[in-house]
Amino acid sequence: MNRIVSKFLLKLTFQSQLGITIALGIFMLALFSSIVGAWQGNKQVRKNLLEQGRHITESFARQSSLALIYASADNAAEAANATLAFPDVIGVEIHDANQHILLRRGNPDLAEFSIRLEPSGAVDDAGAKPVAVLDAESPNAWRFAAPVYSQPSNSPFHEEATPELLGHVTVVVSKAALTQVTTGIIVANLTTSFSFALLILLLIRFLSRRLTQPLNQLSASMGRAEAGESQVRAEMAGPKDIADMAHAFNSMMSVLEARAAEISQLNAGLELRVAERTEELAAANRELESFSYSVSHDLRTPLRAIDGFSGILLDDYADKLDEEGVRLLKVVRDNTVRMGQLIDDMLNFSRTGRLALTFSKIDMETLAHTVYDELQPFVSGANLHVEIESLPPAEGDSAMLRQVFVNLLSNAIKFSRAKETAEIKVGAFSAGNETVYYVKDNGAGFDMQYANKLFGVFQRLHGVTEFEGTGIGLAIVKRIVNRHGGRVWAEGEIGKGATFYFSIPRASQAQSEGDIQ
Amino acid sequence: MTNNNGIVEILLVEDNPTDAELAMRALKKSNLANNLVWVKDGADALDFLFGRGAYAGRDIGCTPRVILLDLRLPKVDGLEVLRTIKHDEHTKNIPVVVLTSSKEDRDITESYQLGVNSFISKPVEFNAFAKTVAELGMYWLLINRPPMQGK
Repeated sequence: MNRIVSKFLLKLTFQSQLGITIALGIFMLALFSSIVGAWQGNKQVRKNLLEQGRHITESFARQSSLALIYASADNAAEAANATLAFPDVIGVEIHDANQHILLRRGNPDLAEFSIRLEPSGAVDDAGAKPVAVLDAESPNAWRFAAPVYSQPSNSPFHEEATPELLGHVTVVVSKAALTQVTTGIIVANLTTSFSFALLILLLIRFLSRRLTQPLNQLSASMGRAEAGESQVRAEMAGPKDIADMAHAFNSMMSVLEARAAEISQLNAGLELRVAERTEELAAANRELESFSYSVSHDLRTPLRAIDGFSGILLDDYADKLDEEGVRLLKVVRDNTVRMGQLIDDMLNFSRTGRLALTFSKIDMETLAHTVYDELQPFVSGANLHVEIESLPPAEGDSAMLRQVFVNLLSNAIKFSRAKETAEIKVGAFSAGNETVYYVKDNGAGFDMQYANKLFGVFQRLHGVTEFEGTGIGLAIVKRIVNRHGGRVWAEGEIGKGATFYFSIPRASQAQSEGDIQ
Repeated sequence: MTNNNGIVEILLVEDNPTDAELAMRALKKSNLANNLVWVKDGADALDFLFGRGAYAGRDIGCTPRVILLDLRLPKVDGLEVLRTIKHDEHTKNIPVVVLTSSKEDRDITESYQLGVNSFISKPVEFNAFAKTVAELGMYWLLINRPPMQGK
């Protein structure tokens, strides 16, 4: 029940809640005060009416003694009429000592008396005065009774004579006046109370309007501010509390706007600085790339001269050199070839960083097969089993990803050629929002201790005599994969083989990151 | 380097003397260097082709069968030389082979856009270099057939 009420109250506005509470209160007050007032008034009027009834009855009893002495109703007619003339008296009766009705006027029977209060005609022995009593009562009338005594005469002969009970009179008094008065009081009270209630409600309505209207305006302003409208200010209207609140809101909005302006200014500055730094960085990168390119490029020319002229020496002056001289010249030439290879690798590496990536959907499985087929001429050694599992497609640059497979597969072939049965497996699995591809071999493997060196430029974990190469292949793989937004890593064990992993994000956004590298 | 009758078969544009010597040696070994002119920069190359400067008075109607052009050249850059050659009615039919150390895609692309006939990266290794130069000399002088020269 409580819950229902509080739920109901929650749905109402402050104005309605206040109105309902006060209306209920005033209604209860009006009802209570009417009831109390009516009860009080009723008590008072009843007392007065009873008093009056008794007086009328006593006076009627006194006037009826002659009629009873002479047993003549006519003698009492005037008194009866006079008594009936009282506003609330509806009937009178005169009974003689034998309980016979001597006179009856009005409609004393209108009231059906169910309650008989006490025996009629009680005699006041002390004063021999007719004392009226409330003889009976019905819902709409009272009946008073009073004894009638013979009049004590003023003559000296009857000095000691005791008054004689001649009979008694009854007077029936209607309660209409009482009911009327009570109803009147209740109606008057209720009318006054309700008039006041109405007045107060109107007043409250006006006051609460004055209170809620600025509140509503304030909340509307807040709503507009929340929706993102700028320069929202609340009107400073209504009672002081509300105006204070509006003022606080306005100050808050000013502060917020100032802060927002400050932040956007800072942001703009920051963006500008980031743009400047990015441009500087890009310029530095370009410079570095062009430097490494021109260095590599310019190194080739003297290298060709060394190789060329030592070659000429070997060709044209072989007869003038002894065996050691020829061997030494060959060492020179071998090293120029190796240096040439290093320079070419450096250029290639530099190129993988500079070339713009063209993203498209790549069928990785077909790519792996194609690359493997192209590498067939380089397969030496006995048994080579290559298993290419089904590979999901990747979003990337086809030439670049092709280079990744070339490097990884040729590595796998190279490092497993010493095995009796070389086994290479290309596979893929899904991890988070990227696809991980791997190339696994059972070849020479590596010590996990040096795993971090694998992908460095010109880093090698094997001697040149054992396995040829400059150590650029994995560095190129790393650079390409990084430019695609992916990662590279490897697992291996000496003599047992190695697995090289690279991941490609499923929806690659690597383009932007890749350009700075 | 020119022979007496003024016929020029190869115009070698190369600023590096060792590279030039190696190239000429390779061509000589194949007997292709008899009518070879070597100029050391782009300006010289254009002077030669258009009979200006040091080459004033040369019979410019006598065009080389092939031009071997390096790209990194002093004074006038190789690509500029190429552009000038390919934009001139008189010289645009002369086959131009870019022979350079550069492997840069930008150079390759631009050379082809300017109308180069062939683009060759000089191998570092002398044997490979000698073989390449000999082969391209063989091809352009003996195998390739140029359009008839009109005067």
